[in-house]
Amino acid sequence: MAKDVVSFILAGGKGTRLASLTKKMAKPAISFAARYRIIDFPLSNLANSGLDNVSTITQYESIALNAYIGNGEKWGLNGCRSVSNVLSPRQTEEGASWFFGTADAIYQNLDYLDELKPSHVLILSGDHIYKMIYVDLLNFHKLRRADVTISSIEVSLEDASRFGIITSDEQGKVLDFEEKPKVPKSTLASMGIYIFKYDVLKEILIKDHLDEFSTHDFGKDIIPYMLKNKYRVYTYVFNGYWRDVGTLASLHQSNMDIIDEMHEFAKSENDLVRHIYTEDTHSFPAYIGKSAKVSHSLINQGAIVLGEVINSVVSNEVLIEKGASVNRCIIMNDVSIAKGAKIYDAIIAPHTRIEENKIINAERKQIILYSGEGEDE
Amino acid sequence: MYRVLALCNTHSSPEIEEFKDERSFPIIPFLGRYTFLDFTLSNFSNSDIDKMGILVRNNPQNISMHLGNNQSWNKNTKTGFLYTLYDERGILNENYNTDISNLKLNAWVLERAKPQYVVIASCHYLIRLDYRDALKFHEENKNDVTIIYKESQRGKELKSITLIKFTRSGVVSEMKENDLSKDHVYADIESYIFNYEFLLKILEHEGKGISFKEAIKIAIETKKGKIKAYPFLGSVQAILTFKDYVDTSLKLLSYQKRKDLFNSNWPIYTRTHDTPPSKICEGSEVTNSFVANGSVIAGKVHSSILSRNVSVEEGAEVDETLIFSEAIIGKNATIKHAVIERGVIIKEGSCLIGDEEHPLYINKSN
Repeated sequence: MAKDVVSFILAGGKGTRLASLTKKMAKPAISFAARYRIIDFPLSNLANSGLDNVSTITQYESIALNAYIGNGEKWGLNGCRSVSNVLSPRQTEEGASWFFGTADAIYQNLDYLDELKPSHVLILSGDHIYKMIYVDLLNFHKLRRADVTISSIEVSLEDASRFGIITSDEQGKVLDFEEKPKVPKSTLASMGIYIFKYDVLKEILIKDHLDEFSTHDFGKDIIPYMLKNKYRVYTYVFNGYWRDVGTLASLHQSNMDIIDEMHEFAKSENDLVRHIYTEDTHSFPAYIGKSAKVSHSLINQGAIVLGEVINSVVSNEVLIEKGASVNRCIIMNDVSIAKGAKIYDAIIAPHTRIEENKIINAERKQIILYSGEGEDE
Repeated sequence: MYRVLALCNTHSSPEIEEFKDERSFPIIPFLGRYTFLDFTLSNFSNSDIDKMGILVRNNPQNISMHLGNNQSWNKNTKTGFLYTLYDERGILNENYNTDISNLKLNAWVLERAKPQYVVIASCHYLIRLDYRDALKFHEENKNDVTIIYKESQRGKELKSITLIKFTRSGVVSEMKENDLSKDHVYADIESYIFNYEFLLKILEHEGKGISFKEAIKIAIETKKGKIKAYPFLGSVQAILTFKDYVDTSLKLLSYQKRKDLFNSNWPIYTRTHDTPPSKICEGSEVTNSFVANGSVIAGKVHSSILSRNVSVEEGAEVDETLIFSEAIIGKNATIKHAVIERGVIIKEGSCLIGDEEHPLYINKSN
């Protein structure tokens, strides 16, 4: 049975700006919002959109990520008609090579796509936090008979230079696309979500592969090439919460936002938007102690809070002892914080032990990452 | 490894009057996240037993709903199984709706498991029991039946409990209801190990109206088979009444009391509901409480247990109360010593105060 849409999640990048968090783990596998991992968001979105042929591209430190994805069962992608794949670089008759960029990762899997014969290919990023049903995007793409449709979102003018910025007409036809412009022409930013007509995608990837000046990147090379050569490039504007979590500061901010957003998703009228699926940790229920003080925070099952937690996100199997205090922090799984410790504006890496009376980031000048090995900025 | 079939026996579960219309015992919510069934099934699973069944007395649809795709408890979903077994006709005729008649009707499960030993355990005694040790004892002693018991010095307080007596070599000589006359007793916690052949004999010879427990009692009295006692050394919480249920739940808020049941090497499996972490809002006050995922707390919650997706609105005060999933406690409501059923909406400003001896039970109809 030929699939109308086949989906790819790009999850192979290193995430260098997340310091030691990504030392042994690819960015999409990093803990988020006390219970989830970042990649739960695109995978749940796909499951909820009924798009059940999903391949996740992995490369950098992929053990934890590959094991986590498994057969896709956590997102229901082990159903009788679903396929959940993990695609890592492989050896072929032509030899062996790494993926040299996002476009190259798809190029190297064209043989697999040829077998599936999809009409369209949806390409997502593994490190974005958002809740989206891709059906509207897909319908828009088909209605406009687009070769590629880029999902986009309005951002503030000050943020615009961090993104690929789109100028479009009223029909959503893209007139101009510029990666990280110093002087942005608009505030419509690419979300790094693309849906291509498969035959066009294939033709362009083959050309791009032969271009020795290309960096084989969708944003930097493929989209500009398509615009230059008058392909039908459209943009679909998404209204909703979306964050790129590429840096410690944005990871922190997005976690802070999610304290409120998470329950907005859960309250949604649309049953499909309500859930984000994830691993069940077999944790005991969360316990909030007799002298605990918790305010504006997310607390996951398995956490034991005996101290003070303010504006923070506390994951499973975390112990915060009496007299310890955390403020604007992300406490990842299996962290223990001994009495008297005070932590501000920090991300605490999984499995970290914080000793008695330790003070972390009292200056609060920026967000810091703290792991067993010390501080990172 | 032994070839074992383990059956959770819900025929022997107590009928709790308050919950009668809403739910059967095995799936009463417990500590916000579990049901009683989860503890028994997790004991089986953590003991490396992967062939499991539930002898369901009534409301099989309730139990199926909790089990979902049945795959949350098995260590291997291909080599193992978890069946719900019930006697449809038996459900309509209470007199003959016994565990024995249920298993007789569902004897195919025995064929499928081809066990050496069959564990039959009830789920109203909360224990963390490693059946591997008990099975080893059973095998080494070449028993026909092993009765797992708990020694207690508070025999005069243990109402509606069966006691056993045994010889110095552990051979059980008597099994009878507690007459509350002695302090030092050996309490039957309704976890039995049967030799397969011996179990088949019981199924063959015993009449429809009796239970496995009664069959064991008859075997002891008529001196049939080798029946020995095996001590359980951990702590036991027996849940026989509504009051036991509320008291035990709240007692487990204490770390000293719960550490025996909650051990990181002994996970308690349950079905995941994909609910987000709980949100504890600014201006709220939460102390000494279990909070399951999906809840949003804006009011005050003290010494209470909240199940999934509970909402406690601003100004509400909840004290020593158990709240089941999806319930909403409206603004400025005051609740003390109560159990709030699933999905109940407590109106703004309501005041519901029970007392410690008689906690209030609030369901949708009252």
